[in-house]
Amino acid sequence: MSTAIDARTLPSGTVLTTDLAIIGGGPAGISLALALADSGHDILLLESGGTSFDDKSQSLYEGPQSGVAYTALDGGRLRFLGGSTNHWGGWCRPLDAMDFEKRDWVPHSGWPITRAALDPYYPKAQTLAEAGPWLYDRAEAQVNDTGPLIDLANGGVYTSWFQFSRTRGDVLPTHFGTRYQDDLNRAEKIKLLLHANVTGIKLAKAGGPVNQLELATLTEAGGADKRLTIKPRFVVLAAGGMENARLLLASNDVIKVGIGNQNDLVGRFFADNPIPRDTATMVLFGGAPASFYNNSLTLTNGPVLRATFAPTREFARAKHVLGSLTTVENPVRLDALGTAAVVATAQALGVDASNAKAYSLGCGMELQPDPDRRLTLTDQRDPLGMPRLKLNMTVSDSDFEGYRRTLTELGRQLLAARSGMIKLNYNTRAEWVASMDWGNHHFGTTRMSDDPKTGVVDADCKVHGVPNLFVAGSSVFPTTSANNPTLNLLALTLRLGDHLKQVMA
Amino acid sequence: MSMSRRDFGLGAAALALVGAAGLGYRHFFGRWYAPTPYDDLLHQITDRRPAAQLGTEAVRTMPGFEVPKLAVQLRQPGFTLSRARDDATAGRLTEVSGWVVPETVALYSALASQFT
Ligand SMILES: Cc1cc2nc3c(=O)[nH]c(=O)nc-3n(C[C@H](O)[C@H](O)[C@H](O)COP(=O)(O)OP(=O)(O)OC[C@H]3O[C@@H](n4cnc5c(N)ncnc54)[C@H](O)[C@@H]3O)c2cc1C
Repeated sequence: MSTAIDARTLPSGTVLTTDLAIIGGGPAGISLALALADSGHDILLLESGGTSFDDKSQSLYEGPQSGVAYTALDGGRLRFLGGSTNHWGGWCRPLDAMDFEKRDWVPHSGWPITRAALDPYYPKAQTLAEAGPWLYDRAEAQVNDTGPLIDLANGGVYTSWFQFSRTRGDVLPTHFGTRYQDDLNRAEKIKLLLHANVTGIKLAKAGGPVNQLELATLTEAGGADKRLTIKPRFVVLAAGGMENARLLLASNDVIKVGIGNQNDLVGRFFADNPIPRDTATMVLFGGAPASFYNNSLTLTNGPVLRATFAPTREFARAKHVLGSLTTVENPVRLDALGTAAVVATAQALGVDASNAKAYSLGCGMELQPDPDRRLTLTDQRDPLGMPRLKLNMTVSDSDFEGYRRTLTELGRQLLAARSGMIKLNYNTRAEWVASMDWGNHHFGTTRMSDDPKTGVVDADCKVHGVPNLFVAGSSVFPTTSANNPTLNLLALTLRLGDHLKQVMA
Repeated sequence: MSMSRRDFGLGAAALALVGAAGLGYRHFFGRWYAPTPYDDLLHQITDRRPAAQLGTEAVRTMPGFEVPKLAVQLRQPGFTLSRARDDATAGRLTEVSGWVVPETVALYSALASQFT
């Protein structure tokens, strides 16, 4: 059993050698280290923070923004062991086969792998996320006792399912740092180095391997303190969807544009899942839906579920829409016009609406990939001398228009089934933007492609042109889907673990 | 997206109106409307007041709206109000102030709005 080492206690100038250095102790870094614990290789897990929140460390994430209003760069992620799972929501849903495909109506879409490549890794990812037995689209059979699905006529939207990471009293879902620190400590070959900020990735030469990592620690007051060096055989960058890009761009002593950035792709295509609120009002003529629509449902054998409306593959293709996961939220009051619309429609359909209830709908959306939605380095430096990031955020009108088509289809299917109807709440871009929260899911900044001209990493998550540098996390996702990222990035990270076992042997 | 939400019912006023649909329409049947040349169409509507309210908004989505022209359309064979039941399956929908409604409901409601 080895306990974590506090990098601040090591003398300045210390040089550590290791087989594998993993930069970042979030869910990606922790899961990768544990997956390789028995591989026989020495693993150094380098984590910027400690085991709890510290504002000096957190402030290293600060940076300016432009474009559409977005979460502050130091507000949507956490910089200590466990990373952003220290405040995640635990929503899990696997990627669909279509999410990997080249969709001709989505520019820059298409992964170099298929869903089948991740299938073997999902069970373990689900276990790491403590999301219970794998049900998802098989959940319907398990919830029969609780109530029926909302009756939708045949069409482009179907009821699908989220599962949730396990909750523990007040501590919501699995906090990867708290949950897995003992496992990390128990693993003889894993050394966890806390308060260890990687500030530079050094290449031997252009086209050559990484031969050194530069590390720095902070003083209590938040200034620069010690400088250390790591000499690794292999490196995995797992510092989160924004910081992965920052480290590559800032490591520019050998390749002036930054590592992996020969084709000006690092930091571009940043994406997140917008979460517009109250996008529509759904009226159910027969009254309240089964509880699993607007609340999570815990089954006796453990899994926690919630129903959601998703577009079918056929509908997405025919109507050129992107991924969306629509949820039923809180009951709402109808105004006089709404009540009139419901009464007039229900009567014409010959339906009794005397128990009708109305609900607000929410959503997680997929955004079109956009090279101008982008992270760049600024002239501002953090106390360790690293250039700060700037984010330019964009959302295109067609993203909203596409989702509106999906909502209209949901309304059509409710009417055709004579089970309900909907009102679309937003028409203008200003209305959509004003309604929007963000998932704080950071995608795309080191996107995956077989071709270095269109991607930063290859299908094995290796940085093009650098033989021993890999990236883990949702920064490699070329398209986001509407699914929450963590379950999926865990599966991809476990796949990377298997690949590393081969190449490191 | 949060995991738990409090459960509210529809507002009392809304319930009263929505509830009317299932309460036998005594109040509405009791209401008297002046005769019109379009009563063959208007009599298909159970409650003219809510239909008229929706129709006032629906008319705004109908460029060149004229009652006689609409009546000709609605008197075509098969264009009774019960056609609304097939509208969604046939993809005949209209958006009225955001409400996605069967096209036939919007048209009959537009007519009701002119005589209520
Ligand atoms: C409020 C909120 C709610 C969320 N809810 C959900 C949800 O319901 N479902 C879901 O799937 N996802 C959710 N997410 C996203 C989820 O938290 C992330 O997908 C996940 O944490 C990403 O894992 P990661 O390991 O790639 O990166 P991070 O979690 O960002 O971990 C990166 C780690 O690297 C460390 N690090 C950074 N820079 C350096 C450096 N230079 N040197 C050394 N270490 C460094 C950080 O301290 C951190 O520990 C949510 C996020 C937020 C903010």
